[in-house]
Amino acid sequence: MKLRVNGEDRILDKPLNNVGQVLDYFGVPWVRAAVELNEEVVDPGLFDTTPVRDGDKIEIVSFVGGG
Amino acid sequence: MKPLIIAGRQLKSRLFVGTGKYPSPGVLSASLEASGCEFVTVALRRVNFSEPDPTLAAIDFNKYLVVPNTSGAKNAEEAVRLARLSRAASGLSWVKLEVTPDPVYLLPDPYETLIAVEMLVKDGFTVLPYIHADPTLAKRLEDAGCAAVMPLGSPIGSARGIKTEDFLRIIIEQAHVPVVVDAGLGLPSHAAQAIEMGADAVLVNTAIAVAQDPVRMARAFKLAVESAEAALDAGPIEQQDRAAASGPLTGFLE
Repeated sequence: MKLRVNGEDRILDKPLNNVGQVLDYFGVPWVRAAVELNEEVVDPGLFDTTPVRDGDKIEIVSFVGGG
Repeated sequence: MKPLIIAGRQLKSRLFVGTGKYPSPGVLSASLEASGCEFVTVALRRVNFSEPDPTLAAIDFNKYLVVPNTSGAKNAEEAVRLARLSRAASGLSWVKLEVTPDPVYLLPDPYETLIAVEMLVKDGFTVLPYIHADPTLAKRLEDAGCAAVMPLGSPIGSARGIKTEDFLRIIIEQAHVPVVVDAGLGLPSHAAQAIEMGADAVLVNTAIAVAQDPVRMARAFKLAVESAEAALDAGPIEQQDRAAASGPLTGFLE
């Protein structure tokens, strides 16, 4: 399966069905993470029901220090 | 001083603290504690899968009002995108709006800021924009529905203190929303000066984070802000052009 994740093309070694599985695949805790799927923000309550498809563009972001 | 209320939320401390540039998560956490602050800012970035940022774990989201900024945004569209992602990540609709296309002085773009404010307010956000100390812009942003305005003292991280005093005074005089002096405060005396001028709060990051001892500096800023508040409550005297002797004016043998 191929996804564009945070600006990089990634070939995944297993198929993933939803946004929650993508977060788990990359080891990202769900809490305080936000996801854009094809430039639309995904409701965090719907991570595990929002489907991902081959070729999707995903941004995974979270908080860092800032002023 | 009257209580500080932003968008219906009362804040106990007038010292707001940013979370960037600390030497370690432990020092960040201890500095926030020592500052006595309640309002804390964070930024939003792509997750680095191989090296996750440890800052997040140092911030107690239950204890502090954690407000994401839109740093990195160069125009309104990018700022709104960052704000929407931040809201999804924090579960909170507060945003410190920063639109800074100029990489050298990080000065805020007033035009893009106003456009972003209009979009974000319509979308239900509580918006606190970082702006130049421009009274006309502050008014426009207040009219557009901002919950506060955050004019700069001097460029971000410059530690130059309050270089915009005359214009900050006009903003403070005219604003009907809280005025938070943001950026450029390098010393506790700068923070005290802002509060003594009538600013509702100050935001400090670099001056604490990059100090040799951030925890002690956080405490120093806390004391300065509290000192200025106490002074205002005590009723400061007016400035005079001439001397006014503190003791009797008769010659000492008369």
